[in-house]
Amino acid sequence: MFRRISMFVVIASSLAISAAQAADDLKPNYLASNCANCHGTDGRSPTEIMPTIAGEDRQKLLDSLRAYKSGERHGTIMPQLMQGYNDSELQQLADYFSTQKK
Amino acid sequence: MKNHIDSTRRRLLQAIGIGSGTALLPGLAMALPRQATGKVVVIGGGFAGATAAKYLRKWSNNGIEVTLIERTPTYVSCPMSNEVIGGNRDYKSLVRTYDALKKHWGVTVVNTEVTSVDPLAKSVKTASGREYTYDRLIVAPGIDLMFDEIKGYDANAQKTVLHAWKGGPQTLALRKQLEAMKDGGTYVISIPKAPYRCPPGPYERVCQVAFYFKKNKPASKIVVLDANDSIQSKGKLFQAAWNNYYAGMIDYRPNWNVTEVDVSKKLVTSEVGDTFKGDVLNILPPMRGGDIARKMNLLNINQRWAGVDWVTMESAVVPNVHVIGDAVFAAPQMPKSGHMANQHGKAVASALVEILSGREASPILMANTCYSMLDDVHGVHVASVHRYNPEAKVPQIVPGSGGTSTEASMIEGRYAHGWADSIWSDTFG
Repeated sequence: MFRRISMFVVIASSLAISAAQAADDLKPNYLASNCANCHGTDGRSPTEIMPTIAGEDRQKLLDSLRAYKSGERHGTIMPQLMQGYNDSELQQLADYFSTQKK
Repeated sequence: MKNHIDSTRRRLLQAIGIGSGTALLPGLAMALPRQATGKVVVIGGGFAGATAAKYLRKWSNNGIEVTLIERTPTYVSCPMSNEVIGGNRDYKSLVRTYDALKKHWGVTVVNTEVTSVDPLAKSVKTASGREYTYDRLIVAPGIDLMFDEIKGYDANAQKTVLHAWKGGPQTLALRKQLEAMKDGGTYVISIPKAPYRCPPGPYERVCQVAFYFKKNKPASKIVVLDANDSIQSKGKLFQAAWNNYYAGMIDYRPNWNVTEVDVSKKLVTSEVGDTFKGDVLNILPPMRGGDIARKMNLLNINQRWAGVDWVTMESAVVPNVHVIGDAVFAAPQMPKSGHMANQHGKAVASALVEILSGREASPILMANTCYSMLDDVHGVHVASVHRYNPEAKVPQIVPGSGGTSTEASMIEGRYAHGWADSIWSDTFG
């Protein structure tokens, strides 16, 4: 019986921790949808002028986002927008778009 | 005691979708998806409402039933409509249908007017006589115009004095008035005190009308009567365009609040008794959240805007009702824009997928981008990123994020058009 109770406590507390973490972080699909207004739903752009980012190489995407943020890469709007995202979020964006179908 | 623990454990495991006897690793449980189910009704199919409907279906893997109630069978975009007024765009390119929402995303789209909402019975009544029940209701009503604030701007005056501040018939009607005006005439546009829909919109319109006059009616003049003390967005960029492209054509009057209009004399009067005459009057009255939101008592801020919880977008006054788009009492420095409305739509969709899966909604991060066209090819932007601050309970601009163009450019003119195609596709496609 004590074993069962302690197992319940372990499960319950691990759920509580996971739930707390989930509540602090942005959901990756939601975070990525920030970009869709210009780059198309899931990063598939319907126009030539806005680059499709779906299915791009993860490292290439991440390097590009980081370079916009650091100022190393010039642009019109991207350097300004990237200041609003932390590095963990840039990684999540690279993860998300690199795993979408082109 | 043992039985109690066992049954509690069993319920807990069932609740997270794991049958008894399954090996359970800590952390794995939350990673397993639980299907969101339930019924959501969306009132209003603009940038906010259509985006919410699409993303609710997408993120719930079609688990949530979504009914979108919209009075018109097609949507006419307000963004880019100034280009139609300036003669730089075909009106048809502004028109979007709900076909993709229906066919591709499985949204039930109903073209009718909402007549009443019963928040206790969680039910929406429509003009067609049908009733729609919901677990959660999203109200995305856009704006309505406060004609009563301007003396003489009655139903009869509204036939000839246009606002053209919603994409639709007035967009074309204002274009026709400008075409009919003689060379050497005066176009008068008035801007209400902020907040109003699309902060840079009036100044972009001035550019578009000036572009048309310069080419076709070069002796004509533009008078801008602004109730605010300065240009409300991209001030330096618009001022530069007015000086560089349209020198001598534009007479800008800050702190000029139109309080009366006389249609027969084509005369506007300010609160201090100043007057101006014009050949084409384009009067933008003060604005508030749309009529249905007022009817539902959702406009709790000055009876103009809807206060919301910024994690779930739930109304501050009516439970299980979420308000998004221009009707919302905006967070600090958050504009009433089509781009922002689309982002509100995603925030509420994400929150409701969590809530209807029995989880808590996650925090939000929204980005805004507004492009303006200064002529036929040159564009400028303003951008910002807004992150939820749990202490202030409101999204705030991330320090150092956002900004404006340094100068007008043709590449940003192309981006402006690309932005429009992308956001139309992300919202309606």
